[in-house]
Amino acid sequence: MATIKEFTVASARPLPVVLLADVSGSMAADGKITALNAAVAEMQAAFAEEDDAQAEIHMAVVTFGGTAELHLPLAPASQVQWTNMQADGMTPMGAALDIVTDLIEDRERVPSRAYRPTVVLISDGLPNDEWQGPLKRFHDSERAAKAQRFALGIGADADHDMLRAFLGDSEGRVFEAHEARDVRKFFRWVTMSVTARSRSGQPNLAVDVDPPDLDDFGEF
Amino acid sequence: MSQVVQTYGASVRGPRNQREGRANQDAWVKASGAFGHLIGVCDGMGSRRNADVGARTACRALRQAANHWPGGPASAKHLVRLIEILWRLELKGHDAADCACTCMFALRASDGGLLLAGLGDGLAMLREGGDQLATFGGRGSDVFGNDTLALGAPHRIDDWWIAVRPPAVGRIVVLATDGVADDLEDGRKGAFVDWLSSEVGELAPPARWRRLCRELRQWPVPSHVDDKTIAVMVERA
Repeated sequence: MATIKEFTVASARPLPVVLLADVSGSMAADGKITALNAAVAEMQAAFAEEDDAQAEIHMAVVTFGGTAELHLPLAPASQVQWTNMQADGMTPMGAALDIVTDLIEDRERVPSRAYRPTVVLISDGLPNDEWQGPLKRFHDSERAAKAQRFALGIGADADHDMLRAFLGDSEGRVFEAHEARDVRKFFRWVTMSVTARSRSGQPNLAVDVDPPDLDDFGEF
Repeated sequence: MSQVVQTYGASVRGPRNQREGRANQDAWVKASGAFGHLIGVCDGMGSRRNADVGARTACRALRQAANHWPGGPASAKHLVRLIEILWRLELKGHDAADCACTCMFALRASDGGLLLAGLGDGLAMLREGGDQLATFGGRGSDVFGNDTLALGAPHRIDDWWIAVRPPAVGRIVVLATDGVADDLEDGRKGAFVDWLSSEVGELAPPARWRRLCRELRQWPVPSHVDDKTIAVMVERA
């Protein structure tokens, strides 16, 4: 006798979180890459332990430093074996944006039953490739354009205009980290925002999370 | 060829509404009359205060509208306009926006012609002629959307999808709200339709309803939250 289990998928609806991480050579200075690696590892561990969710949080990391590449393919956070990112080379953010757009538009990797993805951009400098075209493609795409977006500029050299342009008209906010510990705070806030969304009755809707310890962040 | 038309279905409250002490916000309907046979499923939008009222009222509107359906060359768009009007009249003072719900139905006219139509989320599956399975509705470009198209939410008549089929033999129609449709394996939808029409469909009515409810309550997908509703129409020789 058959049961309905034979016709249904075996996994919960995924909630994809895609990090777009600047790992150019300048990130090696002042402990920035060390702080970023620690913050991402902490986020991954928090997502993996999330057991009150109505969605399964999946993570991917796209890096841009010398080349743009998929450092961590999209996978359930509970199955991720995190390996640290290395900082080196220039800042090809445009190429990295194309990888993110392709990932989210790919219905095999992000199925139609997935909840709205979250995309987080972290950068400490100016893109050195053509990024306006890839950003327009991201904003004009059918699915990636609907992603919830966060942006963090690290240090005084971050391209504020580019980060603002990345957020576009979305409800996201741009934050500035002045020192390494701010990176960790930012990631804790993103983690809380994503887990709040995954626990909510409607994970496609953003949930406002405003932890008080973010008050000392610069917002621009 | 003379055919017997079977209609059945079930709806259960999902874990989210159970946890929050809310009513089932899905509803389903089956009806027969001079017009032929009708099944429908409606899914109240979770964010709306009287979504359950909206879904149940939409089922009443479907039943009433079907009684006006002459079949044949009549315009399906007139029928969906009538459904929309009857839904608003039957709300009896409730604010339509508070009652927003999706609506999907299959109407087999007495001459055997089949009309399927839907507004918003949910999936219709039609097995006709051997191995072919046609699907209508479901998640498409609306992916990641916050709000589905719905009665009581801004939309145009052209937002309804409509499919008309001539008389045929041995068709199976399954309508499912998104709580069911979103979790179906893509390559197993045809087998799901066959299972509902054969193994489940051949049970006596009370046992069939209990079996459907049990299957929907024991939904095997981790972390599922939605209400779940299925309606089935089977033409048997």
